[in-house]
Amino acid sequence: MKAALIISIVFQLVAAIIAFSLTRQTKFNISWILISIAFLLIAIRRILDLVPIYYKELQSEIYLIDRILGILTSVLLLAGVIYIRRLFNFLKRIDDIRRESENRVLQAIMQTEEKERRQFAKDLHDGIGPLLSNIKMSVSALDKTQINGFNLTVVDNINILINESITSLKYTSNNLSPHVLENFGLSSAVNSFIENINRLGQIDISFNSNIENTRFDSQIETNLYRIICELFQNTVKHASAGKVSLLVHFHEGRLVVQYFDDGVGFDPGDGTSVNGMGLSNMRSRLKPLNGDIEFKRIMPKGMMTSIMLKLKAKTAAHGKTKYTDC
Amino acid sequence: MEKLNILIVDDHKLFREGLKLLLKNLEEIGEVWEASDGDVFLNMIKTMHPDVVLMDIEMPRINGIEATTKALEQYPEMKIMALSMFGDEEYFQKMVDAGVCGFLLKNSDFSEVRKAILNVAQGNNYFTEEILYKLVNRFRTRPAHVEQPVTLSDREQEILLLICKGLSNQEIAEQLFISKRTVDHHRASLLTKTDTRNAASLVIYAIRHKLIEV
Repeated sequence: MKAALIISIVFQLVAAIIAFSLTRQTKFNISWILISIAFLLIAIRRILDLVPIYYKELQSEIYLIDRILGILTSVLLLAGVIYIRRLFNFLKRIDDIRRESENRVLQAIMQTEEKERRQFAKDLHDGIGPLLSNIKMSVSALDKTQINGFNLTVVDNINILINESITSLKYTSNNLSPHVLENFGLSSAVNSFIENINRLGQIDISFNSNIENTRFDSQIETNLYRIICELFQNTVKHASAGKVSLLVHFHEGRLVVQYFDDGVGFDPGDGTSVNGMGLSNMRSRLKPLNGDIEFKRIMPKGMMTSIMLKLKAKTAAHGKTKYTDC
Repeated sequence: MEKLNILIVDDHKLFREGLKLLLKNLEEIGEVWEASDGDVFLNMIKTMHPDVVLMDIEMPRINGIEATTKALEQYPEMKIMALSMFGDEEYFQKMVDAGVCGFLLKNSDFSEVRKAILNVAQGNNYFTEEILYKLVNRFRTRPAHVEQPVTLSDREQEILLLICKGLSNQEIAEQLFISKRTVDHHRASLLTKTDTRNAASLVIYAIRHKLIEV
């Protein structure tokens, strides 16, 4: 009985010491101090439990002190727990701030990337493009009757090389950042993109939209364009689909994008395939625009993606209306 | 034939100079002037009267679309041909709306540039095949415009097809064994019926409304 009591005293004291030693590390140490004192009081009560064993005459006084200490311990613990709630709120706030700033960093990375791509595409297209074109014109202006057999072959070969360079320059620049998107908006850019896929002739694509002449904020246009391209690329790469239908509809401040394909579909819940297909990428592109995206499997085959954005009108400097996120 | 004076409007100096060098070598060409953007161009045409203007689209300050519109407001007879890196429908449409009578890509063969200049100088149109092909393809995959297209006589239909093929009035007349005056008349009536301002917009109209089979 005595031994058990002594062991419990030792444990309580150790607990109290550890609690005190942790005070320095806790930010809201008032709650921790209160709890540590409560631990100490519990240890004192255990020591007091020992007293009547040796001094029987003090039993009634000890009993009274023990009760008072008991109440005090409860009060301290209560106060400590109340303060600890503040600590949790504080931690939650820090967590929110961290997530918010992570999000902002991600946005900044994406925006910088787009900006750089745009600049690079422009430099390629406007800087090197005309030079190559000029080389082509000049070579084609050579008087071929003045050139003999081997030199003629060389000239023809140069021609082929220039044509190939011009084609791949246009392709690269357009892939980096489509100039049509910047100059004529989402609908035109999507049309151009579809045209290129159509050239492969594997998929029957229908595209309907009512946004031909509507311009949106450049971030909205870029992000939606990239998402739509990603959807098409997923279909082409993974879905073995025969048909795709894309609808972009803007009405009363709501921009809705619906994308269907009749391919093998996918399970949006399956983490392994999801990451590979850039779905998280699409989500993070919509996040800064406060947009929603939903992926659905269609039975018996196919998938549907719907995107919804709420937009408000903004009058741009040149007097034309542009739409931006709310 | 009198020599043609050409004005190249392009912000890319090396491109301008290269093209100038080639043009100067042609016996049909007289002077070749240069303007580095739309602004400079609009100032130059106050004193100079080029027979054909080769107009780039993307330029700093005043771009090709705006420059063409402004120039044609003052000099409706001026012959402006777009010479662009971009072969997209949107640029084509904008330039045609602005009133160009030809559209050429910068990556054309020089023989095509020459042909286009001579065509345009004679009052005809010249559209590079690459663009027409693109347009046709695009309208083929899109539904035709819902509005009822105009009804054309057989002769008008025939002439429209030849205009779309890029033939001049003279060539059409020869091919159909009719006088050039009759062709002029039919062409004017086609423009009125379709409410288009020149052959370029007529071609777009025809493709869009599926008036011709390509």
